[in-house]
Amino acid sequence: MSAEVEALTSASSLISLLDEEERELQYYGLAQLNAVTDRFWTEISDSISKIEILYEDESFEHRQLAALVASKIYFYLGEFDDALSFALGAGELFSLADSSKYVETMVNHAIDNYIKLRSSGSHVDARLEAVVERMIESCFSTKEYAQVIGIALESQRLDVLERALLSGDTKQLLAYVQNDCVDLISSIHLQTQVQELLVKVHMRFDEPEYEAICLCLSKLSKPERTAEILNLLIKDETNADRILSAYQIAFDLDANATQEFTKAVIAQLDSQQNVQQKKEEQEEEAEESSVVSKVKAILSGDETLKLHLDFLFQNNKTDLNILNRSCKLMDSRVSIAHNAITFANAFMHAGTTVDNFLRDNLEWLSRASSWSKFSATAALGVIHRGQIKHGFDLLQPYLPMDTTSASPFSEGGAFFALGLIHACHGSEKVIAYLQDALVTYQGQNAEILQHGACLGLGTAGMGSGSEEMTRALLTVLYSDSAISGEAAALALGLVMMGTNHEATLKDMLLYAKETVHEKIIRALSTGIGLVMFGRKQEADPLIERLLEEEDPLLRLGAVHTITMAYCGTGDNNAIRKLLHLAVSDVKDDIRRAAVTGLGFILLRSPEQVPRMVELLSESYNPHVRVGSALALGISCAGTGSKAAIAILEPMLKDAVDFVVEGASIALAFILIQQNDTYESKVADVRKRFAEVIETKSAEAVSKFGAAISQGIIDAGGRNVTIGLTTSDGQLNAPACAGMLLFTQFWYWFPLAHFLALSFTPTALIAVNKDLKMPNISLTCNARKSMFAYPPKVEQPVIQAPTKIATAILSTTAKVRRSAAKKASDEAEDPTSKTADEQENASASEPVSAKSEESSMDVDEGSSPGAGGAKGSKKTVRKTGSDTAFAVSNITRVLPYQEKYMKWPSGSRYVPVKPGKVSGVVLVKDTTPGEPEDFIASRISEATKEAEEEPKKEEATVSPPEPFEYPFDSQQA
Amino acid sequence: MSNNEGATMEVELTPEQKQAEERRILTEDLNRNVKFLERGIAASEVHYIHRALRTVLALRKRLQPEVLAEIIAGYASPSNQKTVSDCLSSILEALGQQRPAASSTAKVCEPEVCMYFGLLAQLFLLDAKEFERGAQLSNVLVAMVSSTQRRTLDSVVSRVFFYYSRFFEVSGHLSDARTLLLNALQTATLANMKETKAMLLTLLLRNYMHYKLYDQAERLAAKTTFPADAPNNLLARYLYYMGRIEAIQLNYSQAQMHLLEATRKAPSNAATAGFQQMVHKIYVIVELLMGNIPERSIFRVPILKKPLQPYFELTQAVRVGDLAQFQDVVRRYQEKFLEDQVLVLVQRLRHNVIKAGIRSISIAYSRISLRDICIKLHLDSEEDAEYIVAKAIRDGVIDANIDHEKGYVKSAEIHNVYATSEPQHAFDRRITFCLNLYNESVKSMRYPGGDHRKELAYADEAIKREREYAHELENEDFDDDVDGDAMDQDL
Repeated sequence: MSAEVEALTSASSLISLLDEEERELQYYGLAQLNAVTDRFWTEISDSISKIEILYEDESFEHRQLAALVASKIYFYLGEFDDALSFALGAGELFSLADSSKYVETMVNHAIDNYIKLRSSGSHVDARLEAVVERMIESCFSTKEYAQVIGIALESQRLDVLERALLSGDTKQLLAYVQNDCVDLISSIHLQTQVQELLVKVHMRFDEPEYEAICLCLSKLSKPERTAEILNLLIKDETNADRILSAYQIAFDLDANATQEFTKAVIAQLDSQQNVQQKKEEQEEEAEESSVVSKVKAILSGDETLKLHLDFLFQNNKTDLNILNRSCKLMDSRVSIAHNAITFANAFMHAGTTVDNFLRDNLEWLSRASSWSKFSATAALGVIHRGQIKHGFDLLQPYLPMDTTSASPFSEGGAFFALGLIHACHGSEKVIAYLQDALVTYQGQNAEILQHGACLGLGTAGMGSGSEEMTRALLTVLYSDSAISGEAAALALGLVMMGTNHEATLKDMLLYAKETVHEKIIRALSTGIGLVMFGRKQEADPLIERLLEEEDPLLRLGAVHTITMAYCGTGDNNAIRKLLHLAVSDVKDDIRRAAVTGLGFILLRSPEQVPRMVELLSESYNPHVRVGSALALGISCAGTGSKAAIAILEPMLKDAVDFVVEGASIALAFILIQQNDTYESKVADVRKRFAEVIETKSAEAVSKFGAAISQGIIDAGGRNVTIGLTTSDGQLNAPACAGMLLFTQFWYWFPLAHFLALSFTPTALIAVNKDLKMPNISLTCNARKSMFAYPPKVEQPVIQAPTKIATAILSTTAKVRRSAAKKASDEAEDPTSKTADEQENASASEPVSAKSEESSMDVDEGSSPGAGGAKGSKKTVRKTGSDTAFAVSNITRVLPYQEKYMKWPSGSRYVPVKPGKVSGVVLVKDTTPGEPEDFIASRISEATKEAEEEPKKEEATVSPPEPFEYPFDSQQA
Repeated sequence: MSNNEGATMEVELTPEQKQAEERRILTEDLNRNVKFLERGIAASEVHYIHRALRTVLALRKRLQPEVLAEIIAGYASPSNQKTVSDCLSSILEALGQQRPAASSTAKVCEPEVCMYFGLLAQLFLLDAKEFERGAQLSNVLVAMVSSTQRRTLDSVVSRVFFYYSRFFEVSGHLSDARTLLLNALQTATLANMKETKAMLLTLLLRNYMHYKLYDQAERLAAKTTFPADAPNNLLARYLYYMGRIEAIQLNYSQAQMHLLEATRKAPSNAATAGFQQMVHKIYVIVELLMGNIPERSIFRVPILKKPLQPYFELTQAVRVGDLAQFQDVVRRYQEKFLEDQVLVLVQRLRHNVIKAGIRSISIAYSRISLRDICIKLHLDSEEDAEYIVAKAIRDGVIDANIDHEKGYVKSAEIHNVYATSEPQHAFDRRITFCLNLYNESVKSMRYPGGDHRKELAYADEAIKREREYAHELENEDFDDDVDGDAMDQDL
């Protein structure tokens, strides 16, 4: 039989069998054809219609065979859709057991189709489902769970997902789904369902991973259950491990979850605690509540802020020389130059509480006028960010005293500063104060004050979703003043960030169409984007609507909405839309924003961005160029990506000033915290910034860019990076919002301060169960110089005129010689020896004094204690030139350093969350009995404490003396 | 390689030394090519692989199985994939060499490298006329392909398939290869291996044509698409086969177009002479069948002059419309035409000869009696002449009227062609051709992204590399056309 088939040269005889009347002959023909499709498909395909007719003939017994043959022919012809539908018609004859190319391709195609149908919500053919089911079963039998999970997630089959999770290595699979899959799901609805499922599966364990559960719950926004878990963990105070993990969870929640959520958890903790307390005895209450209050303090962010502040202050390595030099070179009478220095100073000292520069340059400061004064005052907020205890005291001199305002710009700036200090952690007091300010100040200069208060309120109440604040802000918005309205619109976006609050959106949209002020419309478009933060597909209808608007400012809103809604998702559709806008829209602003948006969307996969924007970066349109520079900067921030630098470096020499500015800023983002050893370009880039500032003929805008880039690259005393994602890989919402608002400095300089929200301290802070920092050390298995701070810039030494050498006459020379001889004779005398020694001592003294002085120079503004600590560290650095070195508690750990970090085995303290080497880490004391050695906090806990213990005052630093900006002299 | 040879020429060497020297050079060359392959795999850059393959034909002449076996032994790592190690051992077996024990110091063999060794072994066996063993080895290699699909494999595999088919052809059972080639075609289509797909299509067409299955061949071509960016060599061959199929199937204008394109796409150097001769033979006949007279210049090209002699005479006969001369030519060169497999086509020309005669008559005479036509064209009867003239008029060969009563043919007035839109159409056709050519060449130019920056930075290096390239090309002297001379042999 087979030999006969082999000898065939044409299938025409077999095909002609199909025309026979006899069913038997037709069947025989089909069966024969089925065997030879691979050889004669070209021939059979000419008579495919005959086979199709046979399949459609209900009375034909073997119609399934006809379907199979037809399916194979279509497969060879490359028509996979038809092939699949016939394969499904073939029923049992289509066997999955075969490992032929045909079956393989059909199954792949079936799964693709199934996923498409499921995600579009249309009806799925039962037969198709059966094929996919069979495929899934076979995966289960071969234990390829990751594949099943992939299919299940894409086709939205939660039942299959659950089965897969339970049948494999559940813990590992859960982590896989949590870390690698969930964020890629584009539908929020499905994402929620998956998270719920994850929590359900987690809960099946006896000792579940509460950290992972709480992370899920925070995403699901279920404060009650989070609070329940926290309560469960701290119920038994004898179990130190559980309490520690509760603390760690609280720290993580504070870092990852929104303000709205953490506040709700605190509230829930309160109410649940009350219920419990009723049942329990009175004695235990005190002990219990201390733990609870600690958890609450952590959740409210107070603890984290305190620790970060401590870290930033202790490790402050700002190089004031850079700033001083730039300050001298830039003409402070021009407001753009003044602003540039203000921002550079603010960024360099962000969160360090060190405001020496301002104190030292009072004269410079006094030249600020109108809005640059606003920025200068607001800069205090950036510098003192996180000092919530002293916020009011610090700003007291600038805040308006009574209902009348004397200096609206500095007072407005102070409101903003207040907001920045309390960013994302607005206490009720602050929010009430700022809300009052909105109403209290009316009259001539009210709009400037309201501008400041609105921004402050938005920053402090970020993501709180408070209706009350919204109402207050809407009132300001409706007053239709360009200045206050703009700030109110932005603040609305910040307060309602990520809520997708329909009523607010409607109000904002309506008003955007009503008002005539471009400033307000533009701000509203940004605000709308912020409201849709992270809402992915939910934002699509709104985006479509805005894209069709005629008003370019509203289309800009669409761009911002895409940017924010799909931030960090890498969604292909969003990228396509933005790329289309980037090359097709008629407005430069929109093009620029669209390209910049790419950076936000791809911030989790920075390696893709250089390739994507490479061509755009060579666009004829400077706005597209600057957009691509910022996109690179945002997505590759802190990575030191070589590909990105290669694109950006030539842009520093661009002919258009604002492209140079954008490229400088982007380079600063990328190279933040890096040193020459790790990335050799750093030195070049820094030098280039200095050059631009020095060049007299350079454009003001380029200089501005270079100056603030100097600030960014050395931000936060070099201890912060741009953290748009948290160390757990979650999206850092305030940071993203801050970055978006920073890019708006294009229109309004004071908004540049929002960059402070994106700064995340790169710290290793280990705390024990009392939230104190024990003295510990980790090992880092790499060369120390890779992670060192960049060297200080040398002060240009001004050469003092040297003395002209006096001519020495031969006679004097002779006299000298004889004197010298005499001296050497004397030296042999024991008496003269002591004198010599004395001389030596006195000579060496100034040297050592000098060296001390120089080290003191470095620590200007910090306490002597800090200087001492630094001295000891310096010696460590010298010895640690080999491959491993020790890293002590509360020091800088760079993101790229983390992979080299290790907790030494057998040490006294063990981290609660294994492997965590950065951020706030709770450590467990393995020998609790022994006395512990703590690193003292250098930021005073409270002024009261300092007064009680005057001895301690040396070690702690009281809040800096309030000083006043010498604005009033300039007041018109 | 060749520069090494140049250096050794100076010194007088004993035969043993010479042999040792040759071996050393061969080893070096092979190792270098393998390095190219490995670099290509690592960077997934196809051009490195092409570079390794370019020298295959030069190596073919001085291949020594011992040297090859020695190098293969260096790749017998225990961590090889099973298919690869099996494949390596069957290569050694086919070469009649000892199988080395797997050593841990050996390098891991990539599938591409393994296929490369296989290709060299195939060449060796083909030259040694070991067709049986060659076919066996080819089967092993081809079986391995179906299990590994990588883009970097594409070029190597396509050549392996060529020799696979070649072995079957020389051993006379080409039809046995067909099923496997068809399956491989499907695999290559699914895996998007373009070069392999193109190669398999041409091999299949050749396979069908070998057995005169023009119908099957035509169907296959109609149901598949030839990959757009296949190498020119393959494209030229494909076009040639298509032209032949279409010529047989009376689709002359398509055939003419394809053949013309084939002549243009084929590299014009001595290595492809056989191919060019064959294409031109068919081309001339198709032109004649279409009623055109091929240009005289074709027959003057040195490499074409001699083999095209019968066709030249044929053309002369057709041009004049001399039936007697035509029949004389056909009779004289019948053997030749049969050998070229064009006798069927030549026989179809008889009709054209008559048509050409009628045309020249109609141009020369404004009125001529049917009887005179009969005499001039050596036709049997006046009636015959009448039918033939009527057919010619209907086919648009001539513009004339027949006066049946008086028995003569009256030509219509000759139009001034330049008054019609004919020249315009001709221009249009030429312009379109030029534009297409331009567009295609623009499309086929490749600018690797961001390379210009690198080039600027390392301008010196680029120049040096360019020189090296030029030098190599000079030395290799067009042996990238692997298929050319193989075709030369069999056509």
